[in-house]
Amino acid sequence: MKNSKLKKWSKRLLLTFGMVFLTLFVWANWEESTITEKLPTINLVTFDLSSLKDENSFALIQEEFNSKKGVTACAVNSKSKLVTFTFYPDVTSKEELLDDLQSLGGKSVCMKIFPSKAGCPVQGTKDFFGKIKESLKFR
Amino acid sequence: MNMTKQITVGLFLALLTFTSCKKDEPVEEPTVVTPTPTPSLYTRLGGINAITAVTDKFIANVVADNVINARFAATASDEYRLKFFRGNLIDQICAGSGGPCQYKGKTMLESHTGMNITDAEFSALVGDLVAALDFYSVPTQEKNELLAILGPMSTDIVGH
Repeated sequence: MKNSKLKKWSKRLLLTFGMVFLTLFVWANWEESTITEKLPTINLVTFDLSSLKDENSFALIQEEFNSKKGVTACAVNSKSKLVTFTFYPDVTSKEELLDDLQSLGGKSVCMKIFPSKAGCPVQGTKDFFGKIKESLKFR
Repeated sequence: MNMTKQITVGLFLALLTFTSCKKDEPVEEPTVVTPTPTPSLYTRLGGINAITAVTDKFIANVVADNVINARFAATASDEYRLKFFRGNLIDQICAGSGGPCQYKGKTMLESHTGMNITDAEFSALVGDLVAALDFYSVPTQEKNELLAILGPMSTDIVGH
């Protein structure tokens, strides 16, 4: 008796989850991805170059990394003493970029961590549903 | 009817027949030269791949720029936010230049209200964009056209 009740509830729960998943899946794939959504994803990383004293090092870094495979953009700012890379995460990584930078500018080059809660409040609540939609999108 | 008259009438009829036949021949129409339409700014910029390259360089410039990078801290530290921000930027440039994109983000006024962005910050942002365009050697005309599209947005971005 108890077993059949449990079975019944499990079935209901499974059906509910199934329905929710199906609804989310249909919602996520309702529209075809736009030309922009189809672009390969990039990651971003910034390194602190304040330990570099030689101005030529900045130019060298700019030159070396602009042609590095997987790097889509490299911006060296000699005033801020920062370098920012945008890159394809499936081709290169933050760690690889750090290694390459340290071999050029010494071990004191380090990653700059930005606070996650500061700055432009563009997205807000869209983040949660946006992430679900993105992970279920196949079109 | 004497002989001369008969020949004259015959010649006249022959001429009539000849000219009536000529009427059926195709008449040469004057050729109208239509001016080739100027390609859209989107096409002249190089399409979606070129816009994406400029946008990536622009984002990198902004995040490396101490004057304004604090405004983009959350974007720089979160992959999803970065994707969202980059997509919106590309859509905005692509749609504004006549490309096949649609900007689906908030209006500039909506997204910048409460941020109190200063003129100096806006100028720094424009400087970073110009640097990105210069890096890819975008011709002056296209650069000015693009800046003319984005420039008027300053009233919705600064001082709110």
